Amino acid sequence: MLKFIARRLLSLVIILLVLTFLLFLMQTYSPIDPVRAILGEKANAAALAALRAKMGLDDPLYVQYFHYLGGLLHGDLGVSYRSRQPVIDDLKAFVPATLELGIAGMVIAVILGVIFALTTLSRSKPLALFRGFILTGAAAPTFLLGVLGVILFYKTLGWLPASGRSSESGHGPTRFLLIDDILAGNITGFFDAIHHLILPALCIAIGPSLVIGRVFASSLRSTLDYDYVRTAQAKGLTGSQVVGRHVIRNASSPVLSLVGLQIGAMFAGALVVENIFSWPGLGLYMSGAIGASDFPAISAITLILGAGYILVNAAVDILQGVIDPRLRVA
Amino acid sequence: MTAATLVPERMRLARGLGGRLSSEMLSWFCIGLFALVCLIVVFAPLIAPYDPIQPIGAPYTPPFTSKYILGTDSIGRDVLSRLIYGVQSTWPLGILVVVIGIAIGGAVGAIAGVVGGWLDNLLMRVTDLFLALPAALVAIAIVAFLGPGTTNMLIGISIVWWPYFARIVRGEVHSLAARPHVEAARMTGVGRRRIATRHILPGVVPTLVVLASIDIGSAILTISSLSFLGLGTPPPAAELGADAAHNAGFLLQAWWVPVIPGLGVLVLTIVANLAGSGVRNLMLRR
Repeated sequence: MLKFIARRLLSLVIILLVLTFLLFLMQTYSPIDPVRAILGEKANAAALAALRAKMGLDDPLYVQYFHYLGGLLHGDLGVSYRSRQPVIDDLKAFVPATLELGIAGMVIAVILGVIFALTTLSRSKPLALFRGFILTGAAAPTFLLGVLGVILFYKTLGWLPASGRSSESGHGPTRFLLIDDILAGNITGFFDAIHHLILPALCIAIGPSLVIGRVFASSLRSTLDYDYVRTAQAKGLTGSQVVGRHVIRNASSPVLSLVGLQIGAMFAGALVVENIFSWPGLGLYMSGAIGASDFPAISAITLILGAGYILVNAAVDILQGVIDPRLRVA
Repeated sequence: MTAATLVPERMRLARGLGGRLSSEMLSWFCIGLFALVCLIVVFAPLIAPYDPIQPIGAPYTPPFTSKYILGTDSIGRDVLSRLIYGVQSTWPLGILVVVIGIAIGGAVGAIAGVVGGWLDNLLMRVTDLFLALPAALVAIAIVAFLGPGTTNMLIGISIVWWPYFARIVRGEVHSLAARPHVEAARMTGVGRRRIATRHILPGVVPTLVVLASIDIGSAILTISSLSFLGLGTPPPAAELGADAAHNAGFLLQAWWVPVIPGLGVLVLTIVANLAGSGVRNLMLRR
């Protein structure tokens, strides 16, 4: 058991090192010169050389990499070329916004996925319509879902807001609006934040919900073949009792690891959707950074989201190993 | 990492619409749709009614109200023509990403499976490392660092696209190696190299074809997302994702300008997915 956890943690460290090394390589070998990006095209050669030396760009590669790693461990993500501030200060405001969106998206994806899987057990027409909606939505690009969502729920129906995280300005201690509002006992603010959250979260949830739904559905079907299900039916339980009490729980283990894997797709979706809903998170920051070739910002965003993905998946693996000893091998 | 390798998520997603087409006719019809899109790509300059780059009418002409069937955009360019040229840039890229992914992943998987031993171990460790990284994010970062553009997009996406294929091909090689016909060949004294090239690798091809055809849809979705983030060909080139992004701000005044390229991507993905399940059904029949 301990050996399994230790091994998984070791591979976690290796994967994180690979991610940082990849980002370091990209920064080093990018065709765009960071010194020029900071000083501008017209800077003279002496100034360029001075800054180059100051940034340590003349050191051997491995020295640069260890500097970069050391900086990361101290929370130094570099200085943004655009805002000229440490990237970490810029990110403090944006990370909670994207996390809130991502978590809400995951909750919706799991709910939709479970409903999708359960509807495959029934033959009713309206349920097939729901499945068709999810299937089509998963084939649509995230930005189309966002645009259509704004047109339908904001412009036509007027039910949901189309931009931002909240109608109020300012932020609380955690910068997670839902948590801050609960801490402050601000009920209207809480529901207002949920109101703003629904549409963008739904947009990033539909793709992953199909993946979750598919896997859960096939897991349900194979679980239904077990003898204990027949026993349950034989002792007179109705179909929904059998599924609700005996099948769902046993079928849901594959879904857990899938949820971890889908977080990657979720984050990528958030980068896109934030641009449509002016959601003040990493996606909006990333778009600006891409436009300005702001490499420290781009690599910091990739590192934070990537590390989040890797950590969650390691946690999921360990959790599953704890629950199910058969998974501890490999 | 076990969890990452158990479920080829992209492939499941890519099946999208039409997961269970049954009749052979329907399968061929879907493959026909795929061919039709290819024809549109080839003959785009002949089909597109106007120049996609030059303004030709009043800005924001709504669809179906003038000779510009799908209307005009913010500077009066024909939306239909830009859609057609956008398809021309997106569709081949989607196919190419999958082909490159298959080529790299197939080679890695085949070498690992056939040679075995320490090389198998090494290659699969590398594959697992790539599988453990968040693919879309890494692709976005790579293109952002290389600079926007079609070639860099192809490089960035291909780098994260191959590991799935490597895993699957290796597994397929292993299962084929245990089949009676390979055993029989070995008994009669056929050399290792000949067994690999004549008796095992050809057997992998059908699986690869099915995987590839199912995967094109998700490649197109990824490409259009990167293009939306400004990582594709710089403007004024017509690109489906970028066109939607540039006009998303005017969505309330002129809904059709961002919606139509988005619908274009949706249709391409559905066609690719339908053709994918068509190919799969025809192959399974054999």
